[in-house]
Amino acid sequence: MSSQVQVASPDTFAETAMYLQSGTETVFAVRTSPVTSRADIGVVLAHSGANNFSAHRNGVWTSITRRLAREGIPSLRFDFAGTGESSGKFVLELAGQPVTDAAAAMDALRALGCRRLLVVGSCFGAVPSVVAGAARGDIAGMILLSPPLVPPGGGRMATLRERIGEVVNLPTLRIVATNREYRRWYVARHASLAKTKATIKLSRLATHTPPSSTPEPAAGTSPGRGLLLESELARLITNGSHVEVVFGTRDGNLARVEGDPDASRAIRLLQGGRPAGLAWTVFDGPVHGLEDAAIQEQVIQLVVRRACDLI
Amino acid sequence: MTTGGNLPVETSRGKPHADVAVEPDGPPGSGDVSLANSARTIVGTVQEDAGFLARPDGALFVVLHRPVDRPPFGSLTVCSSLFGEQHTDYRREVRLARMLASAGFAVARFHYRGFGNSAPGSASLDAFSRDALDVTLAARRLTSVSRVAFLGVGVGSLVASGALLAHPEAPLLLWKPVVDGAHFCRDFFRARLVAATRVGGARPGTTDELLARLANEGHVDVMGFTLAASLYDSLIVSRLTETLPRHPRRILVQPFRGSRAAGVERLVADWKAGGCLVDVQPAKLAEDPYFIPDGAAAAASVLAAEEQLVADARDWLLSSWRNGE
Repeated sequence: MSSQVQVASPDTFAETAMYLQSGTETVFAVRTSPVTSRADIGVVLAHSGANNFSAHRNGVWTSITRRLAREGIPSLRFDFAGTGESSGKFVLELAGQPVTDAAAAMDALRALGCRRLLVVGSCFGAVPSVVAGAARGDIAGMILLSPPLVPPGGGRMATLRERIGEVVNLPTLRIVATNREYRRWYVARHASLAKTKATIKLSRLATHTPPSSTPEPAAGTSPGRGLLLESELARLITNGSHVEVVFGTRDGNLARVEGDPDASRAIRLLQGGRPAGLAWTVFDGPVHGLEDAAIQEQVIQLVVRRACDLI
Repeated sequence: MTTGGNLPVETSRGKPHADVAVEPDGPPGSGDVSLANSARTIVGTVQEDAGFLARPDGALFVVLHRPVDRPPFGSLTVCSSLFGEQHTDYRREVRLARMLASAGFAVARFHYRGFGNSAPGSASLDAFSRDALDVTLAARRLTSVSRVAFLGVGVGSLVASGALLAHPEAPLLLWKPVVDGAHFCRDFFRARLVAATRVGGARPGTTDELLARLANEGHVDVMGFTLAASLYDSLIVSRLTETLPRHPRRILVQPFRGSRAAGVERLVADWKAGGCLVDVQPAKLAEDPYFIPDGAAAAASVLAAEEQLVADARDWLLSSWRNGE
């Protein structure tokens, strides 16, 4: 391990480059360490994927990490495999390498003494962060900046096997068995889904339209696939993590959630979750892509504030 | 050395070097220069050291790529593009560095002061050229090479040409060079208007309003990128024909598809008239980063064109140094 050099502020912190093993790939990260840590919390920052690098647009990640350091909070920003300084080829998928990368970054910060993590994911970067975070017990908080909770164009329809796999898997069943709040959400959620599907079937019967010739309903009226990551978000919430979704009024990702009744219902259920429901923050402007300096500043302040709240 | 699990792998022994000497054209190998707070990895046959070059002007984030199995025979310093372009160019530069290092070169890449992972600092083309020279000196000392070359990408062409004043014999490579800094700023501001129209947002302020704010506040936001007045002031008076010294040299220009390519023909004619040996190899890549189409077919096409771009740069540099540069 290399020794410490103060990169920006000699009184408060040091920054150190790191390479992390992530499966067969090597993932690049920068750790920002305050001279004195105030608590056991650390912040992991996941950028938006392709065409991005560890500092994020306009150095927003760098600004966050340095302000966190001044608050005595260590952090780590990293490049997904195939982006920035990392090895490999970037893949836009909900499992596999991006999830391994996010987990590697979380493990690295844990190994440096942070027992609890606040994870911040931007756009696509939120997806593997949530998947990796839901599988562990050290996530104190998760902030998702304009996540693609309803993928553009509806995405590929899942096969029956994939859909069953989303709800019937070992981690889910384990938490259903052991956590009353999650069980309550799980039952309510699937009852809601069943009701939606039954309503559609009944309406088809009423109009005597054979299902095979029924065109797919347009976006906005379709039950669709619902909310991406719904199960994982519910698991994090019932585990007591602070989960906050941040959109901008001009984000297409927000419009897609609001235009999908099934996703909107899922959001409402998550907002009513316990011990504390999904927090929903909307800034006036574009959060997606962080294409506005004023919004960037609001995001920076929000992340630093939430991290301080978790101390 | 892998330390197991997801722990950091193979970190080098960085040292604090707050007092490291910064001599733009000093002799290589004479000082104790290293990257502080650094880490090392091996990608194929390439060794990569990422860390911070400490200087009185503030630390720079630097990545040094070099062949793992032999001493490099020359070093290339990459002066990257800025703002939105940097995002599309970043991985190209990494790909170039890895390909060149596997062919026997050292390649030094860095973030300018005030950008990316580097320390804050007052931005200007001159300051960026000093950054490039500091990185070049460090790379020469760390790799013990004597021959250097520069790559300028986009507006980094103006930075590289400034750094070249200290290395008149160095070959120069230019990707989609910005010939005129004022035109670059004009196009950057126009992209802001087009982007706002595309997303259906409120029409942003006029360029005159933007410039007034730049003068009053010392910086301005352009599509989520902070443009400092000091950088703007240095850009609008900078032209590639004037910054490049009149000295016979070897230059490779790789224009991309876009408005800048139109100015390359005249630039090349000027340079040739001044005694430079100039090669031009157009790349089938879009110059403008803001409106690149999505989709797998587009991505595959871009990747193939990037492979060609990088291979052309490597072959040209190899031939330049083989011919005695």
